[in-house]
Amino acid sequence: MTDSSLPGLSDAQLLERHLSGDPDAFGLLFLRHRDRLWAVALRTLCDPEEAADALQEAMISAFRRAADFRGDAAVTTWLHRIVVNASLDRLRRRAAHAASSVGDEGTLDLLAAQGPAPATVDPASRRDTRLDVEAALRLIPPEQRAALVLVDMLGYPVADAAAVLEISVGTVKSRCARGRARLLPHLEHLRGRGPATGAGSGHRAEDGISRNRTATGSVSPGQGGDG
Amino acid sequence: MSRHSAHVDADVLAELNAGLISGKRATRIHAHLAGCQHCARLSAGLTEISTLLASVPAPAMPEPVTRRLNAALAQEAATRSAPGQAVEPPAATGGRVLSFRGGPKSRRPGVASPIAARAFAAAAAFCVVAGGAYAAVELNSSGPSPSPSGHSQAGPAVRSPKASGGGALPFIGPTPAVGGDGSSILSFHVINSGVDYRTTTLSAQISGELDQRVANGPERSSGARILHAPSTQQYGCVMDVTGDVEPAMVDSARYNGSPATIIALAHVGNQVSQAWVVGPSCSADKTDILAHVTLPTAGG
Repeated sequence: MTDSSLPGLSDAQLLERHLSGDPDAFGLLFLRHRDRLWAVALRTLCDPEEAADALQEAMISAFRRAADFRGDAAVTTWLHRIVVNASLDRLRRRAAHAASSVGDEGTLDLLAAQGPAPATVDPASRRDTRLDVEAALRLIPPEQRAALVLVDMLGYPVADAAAVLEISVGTVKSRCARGRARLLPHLEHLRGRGPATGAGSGHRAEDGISRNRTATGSVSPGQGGDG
Repeated sequence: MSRHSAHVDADVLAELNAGLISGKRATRIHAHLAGCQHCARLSAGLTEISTLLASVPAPAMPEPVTRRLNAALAQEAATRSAPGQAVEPPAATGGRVLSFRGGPKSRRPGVASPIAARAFAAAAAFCVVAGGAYAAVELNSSGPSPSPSGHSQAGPAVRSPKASGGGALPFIGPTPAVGGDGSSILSFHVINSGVDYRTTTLSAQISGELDQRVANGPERSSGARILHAPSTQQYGCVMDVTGDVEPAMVDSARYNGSPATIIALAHVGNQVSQAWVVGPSCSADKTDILAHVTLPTAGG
């Protein structure tokens, strides 16, 4: 039976309980953040089955490696990092089948150029904005996509995205900028159409893009905290 | 840069918008933008890209995925309490996760598989593009979330597996594990025994493997065998083949020399049990059963 005191604990406290042998603590930590972790994996991989496998891989890895968490970042940042790495690694392995002799960035670029599936955006169509955005995302390099998913789509501050991706703030900004430039030709037909149908994730910041450029702090967990 | 100079590259404009360009260079670009409609429109478009991306709703995790991960984590917790478990460790590369053992993928990359279609029947909007046609499934995940250990095991019950594989015997075995929302939750590991099962000795080989598992403990693998969590495809396959009954053993091995998975149910008392051999393409929607055997009762 789950300890009734667990839900009131912070993320860091749950992780401590997990390390001390509590069988339910990590499961609760996962449940607490599952939607955001799912969004990161799904948007990065653009494939629900792959995303589920990557997320399972990531959560089992985090479960086993919880002792490696040193508290120098928020628990959520650590979890996001593992999920992003698992997702990008899947893409790299997929790309390795296509081009075995190209470096990481080059391989991912190649993968993006080839695409895991036919992915084109037809400007003449009147498909839902969301679907057009998701299809266009498949056309950009995964490293740029991951940065855009965190910063533009999920609204994380650039500093937090940098912590998740383990790169500098400048590199996050650069990847986002280049990603936006690559997306523009594929989404230009949507200009002026307004927000996507059903917009509003419920846990995204309500302000505009500038929220990502100056804010700092931990990745918003939605509920619970790192106390 | 003057208003008469060449247009500014989109990458440069995006970097300018992101605050990556400053000083005299930024001043020159701004001056150009003031007099160049084309570049000004491009710059505005880049800003709109961010707004557009922010407007796409974040998908919630589908309930089938939540249940599966809950089961995997509950299995991990159970495994942790059994020292000596031969569980495949995550890749040892610092904090990075670089490998994950997934099941064989019969589908083409990027194309929604039957398991994806089933497992995500109530899934969030996602990007699946096949042959230029878009497919999206809306999420309806209003059901309660099961607790991390929110499944229960009950005693024997009569049950007909969805796929009897021609055996058509009334199956008596454990009831399906049921989550708090009434849906099934299976919690099992997949082993790689390395055994090449043969048609003529199938029943005896499976019984032998099951006996070894019993001797070593239900959650312990013997020798150099490796346990790992099932992939989405394997999970869907096992659920469909056993009729949502938790298997005693799932062995990703070989059958008559070809890759195959053996799914065996546990004996319950003196009742007959059964096992299936499925091919690599087995999934929630395609069981791909290669063989089916009933297993002798213990000591029988």
